[in-house]
Amino acid sequence: MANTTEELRQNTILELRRGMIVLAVLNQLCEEQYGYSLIKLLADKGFEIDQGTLYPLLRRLEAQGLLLSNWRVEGDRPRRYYVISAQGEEILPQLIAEYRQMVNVMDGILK
Amino acid sequence: MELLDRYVKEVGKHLSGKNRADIETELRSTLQDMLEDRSQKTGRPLDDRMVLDVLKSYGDPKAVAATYQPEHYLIGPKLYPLFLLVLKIVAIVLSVMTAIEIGTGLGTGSIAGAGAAAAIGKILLDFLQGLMAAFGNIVFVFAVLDRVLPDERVKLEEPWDPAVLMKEPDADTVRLWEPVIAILGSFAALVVLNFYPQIIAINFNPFTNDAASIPLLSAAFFTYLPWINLILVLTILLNVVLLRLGHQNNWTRSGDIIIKAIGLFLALAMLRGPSLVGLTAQTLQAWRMDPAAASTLASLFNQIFIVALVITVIADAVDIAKDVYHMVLRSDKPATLRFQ
Repeated sequence: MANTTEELRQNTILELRRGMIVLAVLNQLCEEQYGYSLIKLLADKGFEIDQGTLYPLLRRLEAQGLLLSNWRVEGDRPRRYYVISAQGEEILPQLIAEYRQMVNVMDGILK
Repeated sequence: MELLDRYVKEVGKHLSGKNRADIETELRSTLQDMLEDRSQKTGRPLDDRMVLDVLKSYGDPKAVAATYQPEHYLIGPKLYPLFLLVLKIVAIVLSVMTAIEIGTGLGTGSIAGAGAAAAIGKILLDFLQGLMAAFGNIVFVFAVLDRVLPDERVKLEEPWDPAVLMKEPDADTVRLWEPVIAILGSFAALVVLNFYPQIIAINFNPFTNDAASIPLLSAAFFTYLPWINLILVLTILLNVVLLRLGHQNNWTRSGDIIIKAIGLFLALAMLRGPSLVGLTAQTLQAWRMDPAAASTLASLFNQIFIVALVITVIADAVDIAKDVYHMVLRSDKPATLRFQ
C-alpha cells in the first residue's frame, strides 16, 4: 500500500535529519555528557532526538572511534559518559565546514 | 521500580549476549533519569502511574532492542545479484524441461484422453516441487557463502581504474562467479547422487498404468560413489578457499592438481571397468522396443559415457599441465589481484 502524504513527509524529514544528528552529537560532546543529559542539552537548543535514535548512534560512533566512553557511579546510579575522541576532534571542523558549504549551496538552489 | 526492572529485562531478552548487560545498565540509568526529571517537573512523587507513562513513551521493548541490532541478511547485497541470476537460470531451465516433458507427452500420445489433465497437473506439481527444492538448496549455499566470504574481498563500490581494460587477463585472478558456480554445481551433484539417484533415469509412458523408470546409471557406477563424493567435497572446499583468497596461489593450484589427478585416475578406472550405463538392450526390449533399436540406443548411451570419460581425462590432464605451468614458470610473479 502506498504511503500517505504525511508518512512521506515524516520519512523525508527523518532522512534530512539523519546526517545532521551525527554532527550535532559530535559537536555537543566536546564536553563530556551522559545520554540523557545530551538529549536534554540538544532539546534545550531546539534539536529533539529520541532515545531510540541516540543510544545506538552513540555506540556506533564509539565503535567507529569518533567517541570515547567511560562508566562512572554518581550516587547509586551508574552513568556512561561520552566524549569526542582525538579522531573525532580532527574531523569535526571538516564536517562543520562541509555542512556550512552544503547549507550555502542549498540556499542557492532553494531560492 | 519493579516495573522498570521488568521492562529492562524484557528489552535485554531481545538483545545479543555481547553488549546486553551494558545496554541494560545504561537503559535503567536513563529511565531513572527520565522518572526523576518528570517527578521534578510535575512536582509529584514517583508512583506506578508515572513509571507506566515513562515506559510507554520509551516504547515497545522489542522495538527498543531492535534499534541496537545491526541489519541482518540471509544473503547480503554483495552476493544478492549473483543469487538472483542463478535463481533465474535454474527457474528457466526447470521451466524449459517441464515444457519439453509436456510437449513430448502430448506429441507421443502418452498424455492423452481423460487422464491428460491429471498428467499435466502432476508434471506441474513436480515442477513446483523441483523449484522449491532448488530454491532451498541455492538459498542454503548462498547463505553459507555470504558468511565465509570476507567483506573486504568483494566491495560493492571499489575504486575502479579503466586502465584494467587494457591489460591482458591475469591467470591468477578468480572471478567471483567461478567458485560460486563450482560450489553450487558440486553441492547439487552431491545431493542428487547420494539422496536422489533415482531421478537420473529414463521414463517410459510416465502417465499411463504402463509407466516405467529405467535408471541411466548402472550399479557399477555407484561403486565409485565414495571417490566421486571425495572429489566433490574437495572441490567445494577448494572453491571456498578461492572465494576467501580472491586469487590463485601455489597452494590452491596444488589442491586443484590433487583433485584433477583423482578425477583423472577415477575416469581411467571407469573406462577400464564394467559399463556405467544401466540402460541395456535387454531392459529396453522389455519395454516393447524393437531389438535392433534397443541395441542401437543402448550402444549409443555407452558410447556417450565413454566419450564423456575420455573428455574428462583429457580436460583433467590439460588442467593439471596448466596448473604446473603457472606454478613453475610464473612462480616469481606475486599474486596480488583480487576478484573482478
